[in-house]
Amino acid sequence: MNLPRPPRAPLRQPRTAALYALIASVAFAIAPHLARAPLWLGAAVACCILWRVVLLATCGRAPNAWWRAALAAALAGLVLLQFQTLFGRVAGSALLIAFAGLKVLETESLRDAMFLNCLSMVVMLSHLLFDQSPVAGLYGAVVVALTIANFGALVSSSRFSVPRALRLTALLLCGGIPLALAAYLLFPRIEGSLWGIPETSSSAATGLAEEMSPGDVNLLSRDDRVAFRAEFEGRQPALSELYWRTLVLDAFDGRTWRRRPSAHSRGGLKVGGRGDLYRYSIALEATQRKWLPVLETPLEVSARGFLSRDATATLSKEARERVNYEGTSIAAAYPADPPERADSRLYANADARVVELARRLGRGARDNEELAERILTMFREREFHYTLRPPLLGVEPVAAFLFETRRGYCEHYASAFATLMRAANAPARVVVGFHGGEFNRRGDYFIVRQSDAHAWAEVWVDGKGWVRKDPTAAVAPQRVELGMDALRRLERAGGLSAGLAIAELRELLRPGWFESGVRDLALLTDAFTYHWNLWVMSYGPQRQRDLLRRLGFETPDSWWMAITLGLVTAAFLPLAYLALNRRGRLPESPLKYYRAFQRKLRRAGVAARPDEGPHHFAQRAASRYPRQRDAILIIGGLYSGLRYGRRADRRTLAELRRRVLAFRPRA
Amino acid sequence: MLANHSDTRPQAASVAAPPEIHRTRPRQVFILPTRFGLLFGGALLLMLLVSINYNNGLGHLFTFVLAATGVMSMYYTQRNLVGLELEPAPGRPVFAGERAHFSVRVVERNDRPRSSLWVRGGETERVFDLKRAGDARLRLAFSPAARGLHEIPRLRLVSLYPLGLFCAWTRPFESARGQLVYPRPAPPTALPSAAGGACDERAPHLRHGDEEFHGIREHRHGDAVSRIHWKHSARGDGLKTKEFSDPSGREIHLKWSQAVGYDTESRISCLCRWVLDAEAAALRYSLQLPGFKTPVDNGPRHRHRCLEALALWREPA
Repeated sequence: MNLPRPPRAPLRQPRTAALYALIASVAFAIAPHLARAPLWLGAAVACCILWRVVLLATCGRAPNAWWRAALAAALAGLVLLQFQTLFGRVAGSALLIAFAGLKVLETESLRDAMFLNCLSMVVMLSHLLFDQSPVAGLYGAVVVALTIANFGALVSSSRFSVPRALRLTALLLCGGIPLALAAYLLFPRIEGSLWGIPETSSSAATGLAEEMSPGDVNLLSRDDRVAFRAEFEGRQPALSELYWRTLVLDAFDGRTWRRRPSAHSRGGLKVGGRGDLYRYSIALEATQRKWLPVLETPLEVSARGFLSRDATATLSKEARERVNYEGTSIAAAYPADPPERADSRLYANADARVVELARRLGRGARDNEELAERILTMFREREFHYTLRPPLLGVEPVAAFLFETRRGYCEHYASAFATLMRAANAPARVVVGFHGGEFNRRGDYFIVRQSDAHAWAEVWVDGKGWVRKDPTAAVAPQRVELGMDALRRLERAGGLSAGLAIAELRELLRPGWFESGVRDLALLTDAFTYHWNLWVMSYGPQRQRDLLRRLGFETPDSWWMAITLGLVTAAFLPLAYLALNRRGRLPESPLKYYRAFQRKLRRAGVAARPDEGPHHFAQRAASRYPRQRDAILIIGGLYSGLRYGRRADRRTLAELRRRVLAFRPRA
Repeated sequence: MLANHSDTRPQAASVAAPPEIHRTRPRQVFILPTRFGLLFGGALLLMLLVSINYNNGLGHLFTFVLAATGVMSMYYTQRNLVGLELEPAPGRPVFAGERAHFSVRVVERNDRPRSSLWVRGGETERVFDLKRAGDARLRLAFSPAARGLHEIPRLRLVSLYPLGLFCAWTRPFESARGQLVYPRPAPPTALPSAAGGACDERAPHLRHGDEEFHGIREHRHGDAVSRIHWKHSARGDGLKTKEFSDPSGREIHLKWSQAVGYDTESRISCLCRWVLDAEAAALRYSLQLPGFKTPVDNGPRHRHRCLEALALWREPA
């Protein structure tokens, strides 16, 4: 069969209303660029659009091709002058909106209009290169819908009303969404870029400092920004057990705890002990640092990170953007990498009182663990206080804290504890990271903020490994039991110093209906942000593979994904065709009228036999009533057409109805 | 459109013939992207490359959403043409050189509204929408140059609905029904004399004295300009022609041998003119062609018979 030649496409000039709509949506697509584009460019584009609107309203003619070419060259030249290039994200999108503005000016024919409409999609995309927030997503969705509606309006032969545009757009978009989502999830993403190196958006550096000097700062920073969000797969530990380990500090000079580089060499992590396994995924906000927080005690970490001997996870390069990774940790197990001499070395010129205290506490202790317990008991029973606003400490911070101020927060206690341990010649180190987090019951994950930062200590116990000792828990169990957020609210409410039991504090913290509503809303918003980040902003090659692996596919490589996507598409296309070409359901069954027809004939003496189809029955009835032969045969034909599919439409049904109602058997 | 009853030209060539119905079936609907579709595809490719290069999740998402929408629009384009019935009907006979109007009725048979349908045939194209289970009758035109029974031009449905990215069209429908085209009437020529000898030396419009004014009727194509009742026509309801009756009840025979002309077609034209003039003059006339002869008669039916014979006449081999 040779195909007939395609006919000339039936085209018309677009209606003025459709042109106005097109110009409005192009203006909408350009609008968010203006916040970023240089002022002169924004003004030029706005002028072009306004000019075109005035021309449309006054039926004026657009400037001729020479003028337009000159304008285009001038704008391109200015862009080149401003950015020194025409390529890349910034200059490229500036050039794009300049040309979009000029294209608006010259748009007259249907071809121009269709081109402009396609251009507005690209303009939209170029904005998304700068902003992928939910608001940008909404903007993109609106531009997509407008583009589709504009295509419809431009080629429509009859007037195109807003409800019609909405219906058409919704129909097409909804129909295509399964395919689009499959493509989104399965289209093989690649690491890196096709050409050039994209400029990364620089976001402010947040995260833990890489050293700790207790006593230098007298106010714990109140940074409510999210550090990371963690979602557990299966069971999750109690809030008090959520120690997110980030960094191990094992060199102390009397004032500042630092990392000893040698201890962080890659690989070789040994973990002793048995306990529950926890699997979790973490979405870490951009930190500009290499550290990945992991739950204690880590066994595995995905992503480009690796675990060091001191059971911390590190990226091979700084996390300039959000990092998503998965981890497996084990409870009640300890890093078992044996200590070095430096781990038990006290700093030079340590205060004699500290050494004396450590010796007194260590006298008669069987092992390091007993010594640690004695120190914790001291913190618990002597006059030590937990406060978020501790006094400043002098040149000898550990001694000043232990013997004078006795007020501080986690850093002070961790530092003093580890120092005392070392003074008794026991290996000890400080671990910084985060503790706890806010459980978002609206999304079943933990929000860990910068303000949840915490410091604790580890001591070496022979036969076990590096055992975690959190002196803060001894002094202020509410910090560990209730979390930092609760602690701050308690402090504001004055409940921190009242010496109440945990249960009483919980009661005190129970929010009122308004407060709980506000919190709920905040949690919902955060859950939305979390999932947005997870599924849109960080959905890259790594997440894609993790997701597919979690869905049970082994080693999903790019080819596998491409082939699967091809198969999904191949299955979707005929299904969509069948769904769309399904016959519309008839408003009522034709059987009703056929029965009425049979009733009329039965009364006149021709009863249908049970084995008789409409065709034979009509034949028999027609021979009984030859004067109404035609009417009877037509009714029979209409019914079988409706019933057996050749003509199952409303028109035929209406005709059957009309004919049956009019039918009177007459001999 | 209903036939204009005051017009005496008969309707279609064969009124009793069953309607000819063509149905658009899925396999007869073809579809290809338009150049806008190619442009759209190009824009999507560009968007995809940029999204990949900048590893942009939203960019991927919207590119795929737009692509899927384009694919869906393809289905809608094809679907817009499937399940329609075309019923072409030839129009009234026309004289060669005139525009012949024929009609096509399009019936929606799949219970869904249709938009932006274009039907093409002959020199015209019409664009229309259909309601669910609705129908439309469209008048199309073509200009047949010669007399005879002409095929109705092939009909073709085209649609760009909904987005203009794809163009669907149907295999052209060929109608078996013909459009009758009368010969082109020659310039006014004197009628042959009743005696059947030479032509009457006076042109018909000079022979007023022989006849009595009979009445007024609607003007018909081919009526002599001199007979237009201008005063009456000026009232604004169309041209009127004065009718005269020949009290003598003269009979004339319009014979092939008497027709003026050097070749077949000019003779036919001359005879055509005579038939029109004789009818206008309310004469009783007969037409005699080699191998064909009508009885002496007059009236619209007779006129049509004569003109049809002239239209279809072929010189015997």
